[in-house]
Amino acid sequence: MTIYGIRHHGPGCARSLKAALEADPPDIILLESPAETESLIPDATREGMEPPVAMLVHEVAQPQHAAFYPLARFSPEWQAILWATSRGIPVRCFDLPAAHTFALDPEEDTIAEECQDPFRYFAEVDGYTDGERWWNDRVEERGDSATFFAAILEAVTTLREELAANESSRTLRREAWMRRVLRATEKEGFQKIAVVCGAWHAPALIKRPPVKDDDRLLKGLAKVKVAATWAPWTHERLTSASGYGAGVRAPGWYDHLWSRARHPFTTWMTKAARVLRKEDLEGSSASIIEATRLAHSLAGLRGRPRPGLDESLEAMQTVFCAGDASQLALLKGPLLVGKQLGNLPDSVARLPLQADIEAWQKRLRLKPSSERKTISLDLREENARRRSLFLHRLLAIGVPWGRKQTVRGKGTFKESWELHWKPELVVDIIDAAPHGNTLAIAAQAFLTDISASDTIGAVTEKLDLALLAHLPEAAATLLTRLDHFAAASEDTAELLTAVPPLARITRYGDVRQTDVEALEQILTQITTRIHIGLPMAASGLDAQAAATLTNRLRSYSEALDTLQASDMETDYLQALQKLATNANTASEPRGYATRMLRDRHVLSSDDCARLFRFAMSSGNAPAETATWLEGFLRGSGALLIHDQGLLAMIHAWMDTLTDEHFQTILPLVRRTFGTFTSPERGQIGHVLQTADLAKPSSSTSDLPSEMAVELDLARALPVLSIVADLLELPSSKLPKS
Amino acid sequence: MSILREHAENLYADELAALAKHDDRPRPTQWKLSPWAVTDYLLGTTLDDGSEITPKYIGDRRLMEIAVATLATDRALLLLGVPGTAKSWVSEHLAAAISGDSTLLIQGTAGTAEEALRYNWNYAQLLAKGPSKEALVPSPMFHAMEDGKLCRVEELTRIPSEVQDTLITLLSEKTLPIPELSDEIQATAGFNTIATANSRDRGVNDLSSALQRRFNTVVLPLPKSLESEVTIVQSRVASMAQALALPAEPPALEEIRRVVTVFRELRSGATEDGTAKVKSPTATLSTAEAISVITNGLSLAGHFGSGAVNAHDLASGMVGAIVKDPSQDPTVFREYLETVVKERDGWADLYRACRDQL
Repeated sequence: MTIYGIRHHGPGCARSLKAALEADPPDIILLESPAETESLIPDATREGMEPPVAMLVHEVAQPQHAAFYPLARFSPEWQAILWATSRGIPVRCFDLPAAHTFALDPEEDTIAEECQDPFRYFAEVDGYTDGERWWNDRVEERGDSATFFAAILEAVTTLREELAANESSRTLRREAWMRRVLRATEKEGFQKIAVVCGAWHAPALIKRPPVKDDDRLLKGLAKVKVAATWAPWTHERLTSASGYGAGVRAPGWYDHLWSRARHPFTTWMTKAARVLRKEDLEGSSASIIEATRLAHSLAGLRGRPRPGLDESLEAMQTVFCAGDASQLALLKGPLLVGKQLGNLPDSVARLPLQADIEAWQKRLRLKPSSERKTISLDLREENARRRSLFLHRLLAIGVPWGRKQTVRGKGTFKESWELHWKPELVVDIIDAAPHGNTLAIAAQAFLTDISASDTIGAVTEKLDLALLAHLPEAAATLLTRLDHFAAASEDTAELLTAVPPLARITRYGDVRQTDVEALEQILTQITTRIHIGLPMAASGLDAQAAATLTNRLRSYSEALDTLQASDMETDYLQALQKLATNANTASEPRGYATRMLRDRHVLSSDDCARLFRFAMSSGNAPAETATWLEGFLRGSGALLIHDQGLLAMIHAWMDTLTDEHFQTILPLVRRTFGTFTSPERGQIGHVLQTADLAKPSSSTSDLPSEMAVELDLARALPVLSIVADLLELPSSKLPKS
Repeated sequence: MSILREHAENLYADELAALAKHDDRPRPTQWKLSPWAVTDYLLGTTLDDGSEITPKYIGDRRLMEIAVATLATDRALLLLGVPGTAKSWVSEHLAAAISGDSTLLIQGTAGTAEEALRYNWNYAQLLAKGPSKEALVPSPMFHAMEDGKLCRVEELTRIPSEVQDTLITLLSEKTLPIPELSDEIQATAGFNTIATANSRDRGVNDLSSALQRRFNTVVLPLPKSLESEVTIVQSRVASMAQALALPAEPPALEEIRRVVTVFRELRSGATEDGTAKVKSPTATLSTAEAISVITNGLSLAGHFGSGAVNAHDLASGMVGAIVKDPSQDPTVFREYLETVVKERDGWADLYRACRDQL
């Protein structure tokens, strides 16, 4: 038996391992990887398999409970698998099955892994700051050597003996399982066993405790049902910065080392210079020569046979970036990490849903990429519409590959999506897989899966998504459900949330060729119910509920404005009037209703001023006054600057206050005015100082009166009538010449 | 009569000799020490025979390695940094350790002419005998090229751009043409240039990109931690007190720590514990200035005071270093005194002393 202690992603290890296997071919390889992944191994040599890929093990009942085992082309395990499968030598995965690992309560790991970085002990002695750098310098970047693995084994054995740290119970179980498989393999009669495992575990496989100790550790382990599959992976997810425990600092550097370019270091520096040149920075050939020389001379100064990653970065900083470290950050993505995204051949078994999604991707020419990419879709085109539909369906099954951006500018036929493929999305797909074998069926199942406890808001959101994803059957089901919900709902406040998305759908529905008639009917029913229920719903609320209601009313008003249905509008204003005048209405919605009525000229300014003074008078509880004002003025900072009528009203009221009343009311007024931004407040102050507020100015015409006089009506009339036509105003309102 | 300030190669002659004795590594042509020994000379170490090499530069080892490696590759070195980050100091010691001679120095000013970088003429000779080698007055650069030594150019970015570009031929062709004599000087091995530039001067006479390309640039940072800055000030004050024969006792570490803390806090705009924001004055407040504040305090205490440095001796130097712009800086410093210094335990004497000076 030979033990090859490796680090999971290290080109030096991979190279030495390959050489060692060539030199002394084993008849079986044991690999540190959960037993379930063994079935995946033969796929590695298939045509079209391109690392980085990951072996994904997940619980069948709860696919979110998953573990990844990433493999890059410079991973020793990957090289061992390739070497063995191409020669027909069996590979056995001999780590503790994930079935047990998943079943174990994570809290059972009593001893946290204190020894996060055991090699830091060697590093410190050797004058390095951390174990990763030390291992990189001493192990990965050295030339091949025959005694490589023996040396690692000896070092780790000593380290484990010296530290005698308490391993976590999970590590102990894993090692016991590895020993068990090792013993079984020996019993089967294999003569030359090669064990490829993390260097840390190597000593535990040599000094074996009695069988019964291992059996005791492994007795009666709980078990769950798991499944394993391949998933494409990215270099980015191999970095330690991504939170991957066995991650490395610069996968791009390792990949480069593995590629065995003819002049590896010069090629590396040239690549860096090209990246910098693309960013319009210095990176001429002469600089490459100088940077390479400097790196070599630095390596010499530090007593190293050839420059490593640190030397290369320091040379780049000194020569390319004029000493400025911030420019090095430009190299991180394209060079140090790399944009590689793995690929799986079509023949590799995968879940039907996954295959369907990949087929869609191919058909729509939307290739997953680890780069962030923004695409813009013109929904008047068939292909763009299909892409939008596909991305929306993915959203429906909870795979957020694309994120919808808000589009500036006119028109509702444009969508902008930011696409960013992350390997974890595969887990989401697997999670969704039980819902259906094609994307359409799964999305439909997801959307129509509504429980009685769902809110109306949630149902409307789903309806919106169903229409955008063009799932008419789901939409029909959802509409019926929505109708039921709305009829049964006692909660007017809840109904309010349903209207804005519905209004949006009816407005834009025709772009997507959706049938909106049924929807409009439902909308009418819902608004009617709201208008009836609103006065009741707004009374007897505590401050929190009143604030929520007011916010919902705000978006409801906006939605109603966009619908331009005059019946609804009239009903709404009536409801608001009840709100404003009913003394039982909670103060914040009451203030809001008063304001709405004023803005729509239902209340005259005198009436409004009266209600305002009433609400602000000292007979009210202070909290009530404050919330009323909040409802009345919230978010109107900019409006106050321009609507001088409103400002004048408040100003006039302020004049009437006695000193005593002023002092009690000041903090309450501050509470609302404090929410305005400071430029808004500054401008309001400016208006108060300069404008003549005493003079009543109507909000409809802010023009200075002399300008109004100079208008030549006869000449203006043709223009006005065209404008009126454009705005579809009734011509009867135009002045007669 | 004693010399006010010795050259580095004389002041540290013992250390250089000790290093040379133990240095068995290969030396580039004309180098007095191997690159390893130069790095050790700068950063300090203890040799096998027990002789102590004092650290000249306290900071990142990697920076010094890059600087030495650059000179070993015959590329010119540009040391860049804000004032007081030991640029000239490092360049002097590099020249002393590598060439054994730190005197080949060209001080860059707005009035530096091409002749200062190339050569000048002895006009009497020139008129009497016409152009000849004898009539030529060589510049330090000329000498360095002939002898294979390091030439230092201080404050490179103060030199007008058209004069700076004279360096391009020198640095890339390593020759200095003398068209008047149809002759040239070819640099011998060991020649190189160390330039220093102040990053606060950026935009005054920026290096042309052709010249920039011929330098490897090392940026010397301000000391990272309070501890390392206190160490720097402490060791420099001790050696300066010795050289200047100041009568007072060098101040206690605690006194130095206070000055350094004040400088660091005002410089970075936040207190050391990061809890309070502080306004920054216009002054640079470098480590070098902290050193001069303390030596100034030493001399005050020795000649006019009790002989031991107290807050009053330091305060006048501090106020002088911090208040550079009479319109804004006093307010900034007073605000700092009132909000930070006043509240600190045991800083009452410093608070009072500074208030009196303002």
